[in-house]
Parts: sequence; structure tokens; C-alpha cells
Amino acid sequence: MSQGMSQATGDAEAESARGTKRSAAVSLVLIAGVGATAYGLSRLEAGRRTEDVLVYRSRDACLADRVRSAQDCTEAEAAARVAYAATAPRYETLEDCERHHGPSAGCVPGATVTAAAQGRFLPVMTAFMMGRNPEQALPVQPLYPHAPEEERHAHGGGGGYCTGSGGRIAFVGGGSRVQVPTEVARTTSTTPRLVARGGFGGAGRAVASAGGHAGSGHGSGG
Amino acid sequence: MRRLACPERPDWRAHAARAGFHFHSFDGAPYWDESACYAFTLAEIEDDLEAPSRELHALCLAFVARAVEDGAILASLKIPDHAWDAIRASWRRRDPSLYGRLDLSYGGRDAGPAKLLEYNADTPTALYESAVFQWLWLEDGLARNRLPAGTDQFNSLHERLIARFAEIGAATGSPGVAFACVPDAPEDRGTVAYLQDCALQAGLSAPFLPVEAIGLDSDGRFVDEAARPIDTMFKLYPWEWMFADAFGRAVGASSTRFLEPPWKAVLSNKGMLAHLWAMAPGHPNLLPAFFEEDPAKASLGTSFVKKPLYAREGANVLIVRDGAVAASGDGPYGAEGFVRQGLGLLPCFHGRHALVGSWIVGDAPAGIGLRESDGMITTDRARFVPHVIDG
Repeated sequence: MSQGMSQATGDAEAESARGTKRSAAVSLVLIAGVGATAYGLSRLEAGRRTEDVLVYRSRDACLADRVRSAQDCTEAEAAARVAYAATAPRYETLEDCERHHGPSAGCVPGATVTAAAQGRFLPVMTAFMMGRNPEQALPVQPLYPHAPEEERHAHGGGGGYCTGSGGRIAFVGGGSRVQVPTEVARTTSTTPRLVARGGFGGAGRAVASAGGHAGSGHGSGG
Repeated sequence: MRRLACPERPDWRAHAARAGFHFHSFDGAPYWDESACYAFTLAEIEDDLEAPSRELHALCLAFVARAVEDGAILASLKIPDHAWDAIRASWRRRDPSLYGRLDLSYGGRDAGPAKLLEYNADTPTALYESAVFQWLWLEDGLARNRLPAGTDQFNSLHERLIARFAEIGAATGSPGVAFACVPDAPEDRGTVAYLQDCALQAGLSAPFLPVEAIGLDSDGRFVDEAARPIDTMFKLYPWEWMFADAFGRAVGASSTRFLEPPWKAVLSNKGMLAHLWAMAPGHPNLLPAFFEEDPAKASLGTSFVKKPLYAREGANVLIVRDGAVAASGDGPYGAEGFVRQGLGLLPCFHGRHALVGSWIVGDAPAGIGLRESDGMITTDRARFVPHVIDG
């Protein structure tokens, strides 16, 4: 089998020009080869542009790192706290919050953060993110623990942070310097978002338990 | 069209492993079966399968255009009325479709024209084995001189899928497609993994998320596990289940575009067969079909097939021949009603009943895949058998 990109010449003219009724080449970039399984694909995202950012758990960590000025560190933490109260994701229940941010990291009643979040649950702000240098003109963003239940089960981990608009910051082992996709670095949430889950899948489960095929070798397809 | 016995490659399982084909067996029995292949002439492929598939798909699109504007049709298909706006809007926007599979009864030139049994327009599987492993089998056969030089196959699926993803990416302006299915069904997950592969090769990002992890945010947007809004979502999870689920009512107002689009719900429904027959009575590639409530069903006499409006893998299908039950399938479906279709028995080769799945990518035919069953109803126990064009 040829590896790498195939030529997408699948139109009728190309077909008749080469005198066959079949694909000229078939290449698989993901699912073929030793060790490549159908699982774990969610980690692969091709062709992203990135920004260098700094991630700190506190103003003191920022000061100690001596990458940005003391004034920048102070202003960044203050901006992150303001943004946290205004834009942190809101969940209807503690369980919903912990399902995404993890049971250990801590989700708190919204009223303890801001009166506007009364009756909701918010993740704790565990870090903030700022640009490597002022010229990048990146917005400061509060960061939350990222540990979705599905990833915890599937990969024994999750980990890292996410932004209020859902951008993922991969785990940083102690250091402050991270590369994140440009869209994550530049997308800030301006309005808090309430996320509900589990609203798809129920009908499939019901059919499966009634004697259908979902959950066996054959699922929802036909 | 002939069924040729051919010795299977002793190392085909190693080939399958290398090619990422992990669902080649089902409950311990082979699903991929290369101990035989079907041989077609080019005229059978082009005149009897490819051209009718193009025409049937076009007829189906004409039906969708009519159905979305007619509540009586949508009601006859038992599509809940809260879904009508989403279906109608997706059609008016011309939301692009990726693929579908027409299931045809065809037994070769002498057996008469191919007849449409149903259209798996929403969640078809058997895709990877059609597009890739069947193709690799042919190329390997040519390389090892097991097949005569010049042997061909009706199968441009792989090229067409990549090209179609590129078109969809350009049309939607979306950098990627999120892929969702029930993750613990290996065949579904394998089909979706293959489509992720095609999307990546078309230059799109292609993350996976389990159907149950799809989120809905307070702005009415569907979001992924990291709460990022999803621009375009492929879901191998049928629209009738989507609409029945708690989030089903949020589809119409969301900005997410789906593959397949909501308008495909009109086609993946067996009630569509009765409407097609009413639109084009006597069409050579259609079997007469009527809703079970329609007295005109009596015109089918004592030989017919009764099918639930919503079902898959041959479940709850009943075949009556000369007034007696000839075959029936168990299953959980049928609550929404049934259609009665003229009997289009599958051709039988050496005791095996062969079904032609004819693939549509975008709006054009792109290849075929055959499945064989021991009984008259093609079920999830059917075996995939490769094909060649040799004349």
C-alpha cells in the first residue's frame, strides 16, 4: 500500500482517461500500519498554526519566571480574575461541572464567585494564560482544569487546562512555556456558556437494550 | 454476473491487520469472505448498475424537494413535527451530503433490471471494506497474477470520498469535521475511523467524539468535549434517533452542519419507497410499494415484503411468497408502521443470496460492494464478498 497523500482525481473524466473504474491509489494515513488503531484519533489534529504562550498558576509564579515584567504579571492576574467571574463556564449541576473539569480539581457554587452565577456551578480558575511577549497582543485568559469523563476513562488521564471558550491547553509538566493553536490563544469567551451533555445517544441505547445491534459488533449503521 | 470460487489468500488476515481492517470477523464467523468473488461485465456495471444508481439518486432528490414542502408526506414518514423545520432548512440551504448506499436486487443482465430495495442514505456502513480492502484485494490479486491482467473493479470510492470532503470543506469554510458515533460498536467505529482518514487527506481536521459526549451550550450550539462549538459534524447515528433524543429539538436552531444533513432523514425511511413508486409508477428500477394502511397494497397479491419504516440490518422484515411466510427477521423495530413492497428476491448463487450495495458519493455513483446471506434477508450476519469486472 502506498503511504501518504493520494491524488484526489476521482472524477468521471479522470476515470475514463485512465481506462479503469477504480481508484488509482488508496492511501491511509491514520488507520493503517503497526500500532495505529482506530482509537486515539481525537488527539490528531492536522495543520494548526500556533502561538507561544505562558501559563502560570499565580502572579508569584509569573514574577519568579522573569519572562514578562512585574507590572505585566500583576495586570495579567487581575485581568484573569475579572474574566473568570464574567465568563467562566456555568453548569446546571455539580455533577455536570465535575464531569468536564474532574472531581478532584474542584467545582464551586457560582454564588461564591459572582452573584450573577447564582444557582450554577463553576470550575475553579487554576491558572491563567498570557502571551510570551507584549507584541503578540494576546488576551489574558483564565484557565480551568481539563479532565472530561470520557477522556479519563479512555486514556487514563485527560489533564491540562481548557479556556472558557473550550480551547484545550495540553498538559505542561512544570514549565510555563506552551504552544497552543492560534484559535485557542485568540478566542476569548465574552459571555458565560452553560453546557449540557448526554442529550444524544439515548434512543440508540434504548433500541440496543430492546434487541437491536448498537453495542454489539454492529451499531447504528446499516 | 457470475459467482466465481477463488482460493482465499492464506495471509489475508495479516493484510487486514496492516490495512487497519479490524472488524473482518463477527461473533467468530468471517465477515470478509474472499473464498469467492462476483464477476461482472463492464456493460452490466455501467448500464445496469451505475446509470440506474445515478437516476435513482436523482429521483430521490426530486422526492426530497417535494417532501420537505409537504407536511402530509413528512407525517406519513412518521418524522416528528419538531424536526420538520430542521429538515426543510437543511434542504433549502442545500446542505451537502457525503455518501449513501442504494441496496439493489440484481442478478445479471438476463435477470432483468436492478431493483431498488432501499436507500441507506443516512448511516451506511460496509464502506471501508468496499473502498479499501476490496480494492487492496484486487491489486494484490493482479500483483500476484491471481487475477488476469486488465481485471478491474467498480470502485472509485476512496478517491471520491477524499474529493468530496475537500468540496465540503471549501463549501462550508470549516477547518474540520468532528466525527461522532457510538464508540463501542467496532464496525461503526471502524467506518468512522476510515472517514476521519479520508477527511484528513482532504486537508481537514478530523477529531472523534462519542455521540453521548456531544454537548449543547447555552447559545444553542453543539460543542465537543472541550466545549468548542462544532461547525460540521459527521454522525454515524441515525436521524430518527437524533430527533427522538433530548437534544433533537436543538438541531434546527444550532449553527452546526451535519453529515449526513437532516434532509437525508426523508430518504433513509422505507416509507420513501411508497412515495417513489407513486412519483414514478412503473419505473424499471423500482418495485411497487405501498404504505401498509393503503388499500392499494392488495395489488401486490400474495407475494410481497413487509418492512418497518425505520429499521436496519434486515430486522423485522417479513417476506411472504404465495401467501406463506418465506422468511422473517426479528428485531425491535416496527412501532412507526410498515410499507409493503413487491417481492424482489435476491439472486441466489450456489445457495447464497447476493445483495448489491451501490455507493453514491456526493450525487454520483462511486462503486459497489456485495454482501451474501444464507437466507433471503440480508442481515448483520451477511458476508462481504469482493467483485471484479472481467469482460
